[in-house]
Amino acid sequence: MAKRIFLIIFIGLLFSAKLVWAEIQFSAEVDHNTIGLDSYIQLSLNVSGAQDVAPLTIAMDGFDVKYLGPSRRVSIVNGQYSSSVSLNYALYPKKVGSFEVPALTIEADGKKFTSPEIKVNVVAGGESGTAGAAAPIQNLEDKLFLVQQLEKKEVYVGEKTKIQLALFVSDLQVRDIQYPKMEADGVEFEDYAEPKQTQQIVNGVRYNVVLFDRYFYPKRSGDIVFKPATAGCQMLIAKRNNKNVPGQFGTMFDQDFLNDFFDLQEKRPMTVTSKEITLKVKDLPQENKPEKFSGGVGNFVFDISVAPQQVKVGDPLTIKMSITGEGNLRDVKFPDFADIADLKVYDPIIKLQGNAKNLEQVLIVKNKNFQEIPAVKFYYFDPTEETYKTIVKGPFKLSVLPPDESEQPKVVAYDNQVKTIEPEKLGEDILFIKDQVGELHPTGKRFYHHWMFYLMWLLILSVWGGAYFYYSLNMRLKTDTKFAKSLKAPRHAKQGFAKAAQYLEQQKVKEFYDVLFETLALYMANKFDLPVGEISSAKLNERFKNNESWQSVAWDLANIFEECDAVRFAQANISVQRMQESYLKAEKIIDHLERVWR
Amino acid sequence: MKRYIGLITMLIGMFFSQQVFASSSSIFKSDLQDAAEFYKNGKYKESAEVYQNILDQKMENGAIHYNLGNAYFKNSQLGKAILEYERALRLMPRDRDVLFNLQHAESLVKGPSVDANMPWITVKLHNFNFDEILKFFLWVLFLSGTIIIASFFLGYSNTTRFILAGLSVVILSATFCAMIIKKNMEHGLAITMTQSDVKFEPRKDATTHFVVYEGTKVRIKQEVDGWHKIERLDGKGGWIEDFAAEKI
Repeated sequence: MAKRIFLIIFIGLLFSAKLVWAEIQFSAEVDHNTIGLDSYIQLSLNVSGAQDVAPLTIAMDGFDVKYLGPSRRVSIVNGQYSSSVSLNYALYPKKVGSFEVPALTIEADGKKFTSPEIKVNVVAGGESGTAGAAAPIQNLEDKLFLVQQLEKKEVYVGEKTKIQLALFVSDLQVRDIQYPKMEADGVEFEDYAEPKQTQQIVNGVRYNVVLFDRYFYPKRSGDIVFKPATAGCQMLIAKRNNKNVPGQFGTMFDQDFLNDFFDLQEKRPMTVTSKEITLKVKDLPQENKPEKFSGGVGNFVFDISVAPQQVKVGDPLTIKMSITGEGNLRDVKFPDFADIADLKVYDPIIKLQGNAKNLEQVLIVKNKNFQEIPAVKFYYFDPTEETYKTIVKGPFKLSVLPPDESEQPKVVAYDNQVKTIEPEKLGEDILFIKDQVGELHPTGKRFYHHWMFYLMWLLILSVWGGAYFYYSLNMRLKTDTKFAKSLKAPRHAKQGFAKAAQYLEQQKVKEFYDVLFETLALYMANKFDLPVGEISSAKLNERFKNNESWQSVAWDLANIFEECDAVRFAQANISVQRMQESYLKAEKIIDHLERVWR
Repeated sequence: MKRYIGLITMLIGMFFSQQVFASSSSIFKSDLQDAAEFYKNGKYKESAEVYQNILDQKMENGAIHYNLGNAYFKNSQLGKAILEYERALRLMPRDRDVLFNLQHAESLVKGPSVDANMPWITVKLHNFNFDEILKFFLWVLFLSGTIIIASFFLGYSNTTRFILAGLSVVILSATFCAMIIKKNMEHGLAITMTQSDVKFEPRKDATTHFVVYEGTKVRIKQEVDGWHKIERLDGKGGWIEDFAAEKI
């Protein structure tokens, strides 16, 4: 309830206040005009009468400028409302001298406002200017800098070489130093060694120095450029109180004399950059280069051991080799035993530990006559003496026993005598030429280029097509009675005519007309899918009265059927000539119907 | 009807046999005898010339390539020997003599051992040449067509017919894929004739990437103005001059 009352009173006061928006005013101020290199100036750009002002980008000679952010102030005095915004910047000095904060311009409400220039001084040491030594340092770059230097200026490819980065700090407090970032093509770097701290006097000035050592191996010959290295760190500077305005409470309160006791300091992020340097890399000399050069460049010690010295054929033998010393151990290859035919060689296990590279490998002796492992030679290049060197170890005497009887291959003969098989030595060459060359054929001619290829496929497709057609026809004959009878009609008619022709020749009138009638009736029944008993001239004429092709045979068919009836039922006398005419007419009728009535 | 079936069977048999392309070797009989005689007498160069002369007349078979490969091998021309063995192998893919001699010749090729990691199907297809795979495809096509049509006469159910048709389609598709793979396997293969620097660019003064030795099998990917872009079986590639490699 109390909160609500307070809110209502506040709103009432706000509305009762005379809302007067003052004219826009712009000013710039610094908290100190004179500072030391290890301090900084706070620049405030004050804008009153405006709500939102975009921060400016300020570039200034002799300073690094960092935007700290805005601060806003609202006041109601005697009922009059006013507001202001301050844009705060930190100016970190880079060198000693007199400088000028340039005139700065802002834009608000469509108008431009410009601040006057401000003169500032940077002195060596503390703000009093008395902290400097006999030769005061004038630039921040002289107080904090990074140097990269090579152990050697000229090396061989693969030679282990050191690059050192030294961070020099004088009269500054620096924390959180990061490992420098370096970049060079054609170089394989190792990890950084632990950094070391020391002190050096340069031009009469004492420096604290942090040393970063790093080894590397050049992978190619020619000039290798190490690009400028960069290291990040934080510089401690005296902390500023933003509320303090210079001159308000005197310099005594501006001096942070209690900073050292209460850690009242700020961290300024810094990036220090070194200069570029170049390394000259030489190829290894080709003269006297051993054929089985291990690739090692440096100064090495090679050792080898073989155990056990007494083995049976087929039993494992362990070889241990070690290479120690300074050099490109990563690239060094161990001697191998691939050339020894009497040994079966398994893949080795290789480990790299610090300045030592170790190999462990299992070998199996295949032949009982193998009595020693020949001397093992390790070749490397010594860059100090610039010569190839050889370390020879061995030979290693072995006592090789034949395998147990049960492990040996046996030949079981008919007489049950056991004979061992001596390993057969085989020569190697190609087989003899072929005497029987066989038939030749045109070069590049594939069998699908031949005309028979296409002919055969035509034939095969025809057979497939014919088979399918035959199948379809059979199926229709089985399922379509009308079609089957229609197909049978001419065949039956042909048989009937053959029989009728015989009777005609024998002049058997009755039999002839019986067969002729039967043939025509059966044909018509099959052709038109009618019962045989219903076949008569009158019925057929009635059925096909509108068919023109039928009309041309109807008269002849009626005459033949009448003749047939006359002979079959009235014993009429018919001449042979008449029989022949009837026969021909009947043939003509069927022929006509077959042609036009499909 | 039986007579027709017999005739068709005979024609199909002839068609699928090698007799289709058979051509009498009698015209080269004396040349072949001379070449063999030269070889037996240790005159390998002369023997190679005679065999090469026969091949130049656009007639060939696997045995001629094999014999020519032998003559080149004995004449210390390792690259050409391997080339001829490879050509012989395309015509006689399972011939033990060719495989043995090729393996021996390849073991003498200098340089690092380059092994291609070949998939199973590729290894199997090495045992067959393209013509054989095509013939198998056509046999399957013919048989499946015939069986499916026969199924109509034999009154098989529709289900049986669908199963037969499905099986046929699967086998035919697999065989067709095998044909395509085989064609791609053989495409662009070549043998290097001399030791050559493989360059990064088709220029004589370009940086050398690696060296190929006489008899190395490579695949020609591109041909540009007297240069071949090649790829070794381990995938390393570059440019060599065109005379340095010959296609199989």
